[in-house]
Amino acid sequence: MNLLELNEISVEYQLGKNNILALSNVSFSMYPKEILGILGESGSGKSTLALTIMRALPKNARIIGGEVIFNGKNLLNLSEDELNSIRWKEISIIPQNSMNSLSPVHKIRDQLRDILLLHEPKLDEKEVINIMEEKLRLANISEDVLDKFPHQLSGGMRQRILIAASLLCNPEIIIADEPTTGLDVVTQYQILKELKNLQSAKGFSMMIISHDISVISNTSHRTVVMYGGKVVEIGPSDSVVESPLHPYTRMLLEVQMEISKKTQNELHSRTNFNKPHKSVGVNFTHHSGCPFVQRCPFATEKCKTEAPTLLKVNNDHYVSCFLFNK
Amino acid sequence: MKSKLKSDNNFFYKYLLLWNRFKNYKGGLIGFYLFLVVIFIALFVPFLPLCDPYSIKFQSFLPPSFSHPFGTDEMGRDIFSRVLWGSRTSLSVGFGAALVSSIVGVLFGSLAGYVGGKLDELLSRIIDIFLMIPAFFLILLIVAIYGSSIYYVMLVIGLTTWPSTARIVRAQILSLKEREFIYAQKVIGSSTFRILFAHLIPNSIQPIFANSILQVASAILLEAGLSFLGLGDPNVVSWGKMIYSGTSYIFTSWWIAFFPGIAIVVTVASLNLIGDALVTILSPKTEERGAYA
Amino acid sequence: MEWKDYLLRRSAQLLLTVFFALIINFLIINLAPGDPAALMAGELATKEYIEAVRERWGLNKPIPERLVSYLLNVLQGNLGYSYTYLQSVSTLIAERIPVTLLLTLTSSIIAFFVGLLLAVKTSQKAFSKVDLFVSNMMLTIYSIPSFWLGLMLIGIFGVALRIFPTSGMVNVRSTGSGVFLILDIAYHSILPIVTLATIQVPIYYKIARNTIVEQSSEDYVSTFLMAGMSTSSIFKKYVLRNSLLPPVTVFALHLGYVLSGAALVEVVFGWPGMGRLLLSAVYSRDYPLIMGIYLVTSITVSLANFFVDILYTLLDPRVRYK
Repeated sequence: MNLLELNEISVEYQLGKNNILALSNVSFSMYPKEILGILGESGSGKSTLALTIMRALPKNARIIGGEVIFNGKNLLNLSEDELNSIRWKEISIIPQNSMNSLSPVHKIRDQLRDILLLHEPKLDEKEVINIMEEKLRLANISEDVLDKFPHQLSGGMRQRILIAASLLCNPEIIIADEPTTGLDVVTQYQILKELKNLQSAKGFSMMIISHDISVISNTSHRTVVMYGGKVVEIGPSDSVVESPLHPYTRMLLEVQMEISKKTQNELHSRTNFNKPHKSVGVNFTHHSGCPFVQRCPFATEKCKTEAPTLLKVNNDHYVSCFLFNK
Repeated sequence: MKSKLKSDNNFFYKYLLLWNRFKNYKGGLIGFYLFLVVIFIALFVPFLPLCDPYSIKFQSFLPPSFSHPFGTDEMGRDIFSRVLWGSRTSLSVGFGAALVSSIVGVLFGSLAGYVGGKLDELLSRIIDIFLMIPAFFLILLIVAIYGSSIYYVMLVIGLTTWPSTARIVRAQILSLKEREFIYAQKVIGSSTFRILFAHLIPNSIQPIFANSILQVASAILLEAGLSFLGLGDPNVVSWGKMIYSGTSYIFTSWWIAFFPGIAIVVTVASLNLIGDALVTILSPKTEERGAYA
Repeated sequence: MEWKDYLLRRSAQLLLTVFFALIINFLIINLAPGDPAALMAGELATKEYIEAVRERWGLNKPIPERLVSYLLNVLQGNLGYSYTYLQSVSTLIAERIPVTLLLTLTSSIIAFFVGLLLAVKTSQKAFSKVDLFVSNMMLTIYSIPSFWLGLMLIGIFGVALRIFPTSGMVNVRSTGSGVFLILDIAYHSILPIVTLATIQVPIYYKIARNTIVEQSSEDYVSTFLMAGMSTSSIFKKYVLRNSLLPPVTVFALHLGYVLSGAALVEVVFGWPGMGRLLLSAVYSRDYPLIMGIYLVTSITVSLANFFVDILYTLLDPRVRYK
């Protein structure tokens, strides 16, 4: 049984006079109680994917097709009210951590309370506080932060508050968008471990979005590799890491191996993965053919004109590449 | 590589780009065309078939009519002709003051930004303090004591409004001076003077340009206020002075104050519309939005 | 304490600004062509009076001593003697400042709310036709000279429609007191306040609109959206609260501009405040009075900026004291 099903989702951004395809026919499913990793560099469409599921795309984005099935309902067809009853209560998100992921002029207490009361309006003040404190403890942070403003906290503390916030309504699915970006290596490691423990203790499903193959392979059960707005490979994380199929995945792993001794920061600059979020779509000016064709060492004439589709290679491991056709 | 080390001094190309973006701002474009009209009038008013603006040969208090489109004033002068002639006063004060203000502002701003350290701290403090002193009252005081010839008015407005330019220039220079082409100039041993005047200032001219246009607008309003209080140059036709003489006759002859006011609004608004569009275009936030929206 | 340090530093800056304004005033007197004592004494002064003024302000001494004597005088509240009103400048100004502040503050508060309201409306459709139209309208209103606007309002509502009085703060023929006096003043102040508020609306509108547009695309908006909060609740609870502070600082930053507008509007409406005083001072070249007005407005603006900065640190938790 699939908990969440994405079918043929396409999203485009309007940039000036051009339309740019950010997601092109993306399909995959999420199983109950699993950690699903979404791996891809900036511009691969992975954050757009999270925003599409939450239906929180920026104004210049448009969903041009596909469906997101959750509990038998297509989230993309729900009214705003119906959607708001699912948001956070059923599916919550740990948004990309930034200075302003939370309102800078409101105390943490007021912001968490507002979110909780949206979905549990009957709670009295005492219950609200109990729940907030419980979730903060789960996220391994002291309840003292309730009376602080976001700017008074470190990046790691803010990330933990966002994790606590995502747990507020005991959702079935939590989407973590780059949960370790901007944190030091030690904190990164701790937070990933905590997220993993939380998931196995609470039994929710989690989608971890990252550009960092080590983050994904250390946490997730299955991995979806994205490139240029398309899914290029899906499979159990172990087999994706041990026997990668798509040339892009292989390239990523080689880079990872080559510089495994170096710090995370260097990885960023070497592979040019830390481009700003707004560069979404720079690679997708071409609409036909394989998105990876320009960087692929095995590219043929066919790859330039025809787009490969996902193909089952072995047990639960899929790839979208002509190298595996027959 | 070579292009990176050279400063981009192709002015013509730069301004062509600027114009191409400016064209998309309707308000700015309307302002631009209005301003062309005002400039045309100011330049060619002596050659237009108009009555002498000083001549008092007509009947007083004539309402607008075909022979006197804006009517006549209390002394029997043709208001239409006086309004057109007044554009010269307003524009020369506006541009003169903005020029003085820009020169002083660029000088102080670039010194503060380029030299840095203690000098920057001192100049920045002076700029902050100067910005807090209400310019109008200071200008009024100086003009009242030192005299109100049109050149004085220009000079004084310019000398009291330079801090806003200085602030912008300082910020520009601060960000430019770390760039490669400036570093390259230092390496090849260019003098500080040359780096400042041949590279840093020319490259920060666009934001100054936008700010200067807004300063022309505010200088015109300041001059109007001064001459309304009787501190304008008594030897020239000034819209502010015309409005003041109209206050006494507002009960009977509204046109005396009405038309010069419209002239001020049109002139100042055209400049504000241009300036605002330019500021929007040149602000880094717009580029970000342009890429996203 | 960090905050105390900030308060101390900000107070020092305040004193420095006031000192700077005084120095400028001092330089203007002493660099003026001719005899500074004659300048301070007035055109019709007798020789004896000029000498008395010279003695009083130390104008017969070298420059450094003059400065000390000037500062001492000002410190004691002595801004000079107006030879047209035959009164001390400080008394004259003190009498009129409340009237001017009544106009300025009331109109600023009205302009703040009108500007904010307009900004809330147009920022919902940022960069739409309506938004651009209102922005350009605001730029045009910002280009209107205050005194001319006041005059036109008098022409329309006072002369043509006869709804409002055209001049003064009270009806000279009525002898009302108490509530009636207050109502009379309120009635007389409608047109001048509308004039002054109108020229300020664009200032508040612009900053409020830009702040709201900026805040509406902040990350926290999408956080709350994804948490299931409706767009209108996010706006009311979070965006608006985050957008209120910048317009407040604008009040102090533009106070100098508004005071000069108020002075000119007072002249038009025959309002018995600083503007009228300024006009008559200019006409009779009453230099001590003009200087006094310049000094008092400078100090008022510096004080307003000081208080708003302090208020800001209390209202905005993010402020880092620098």
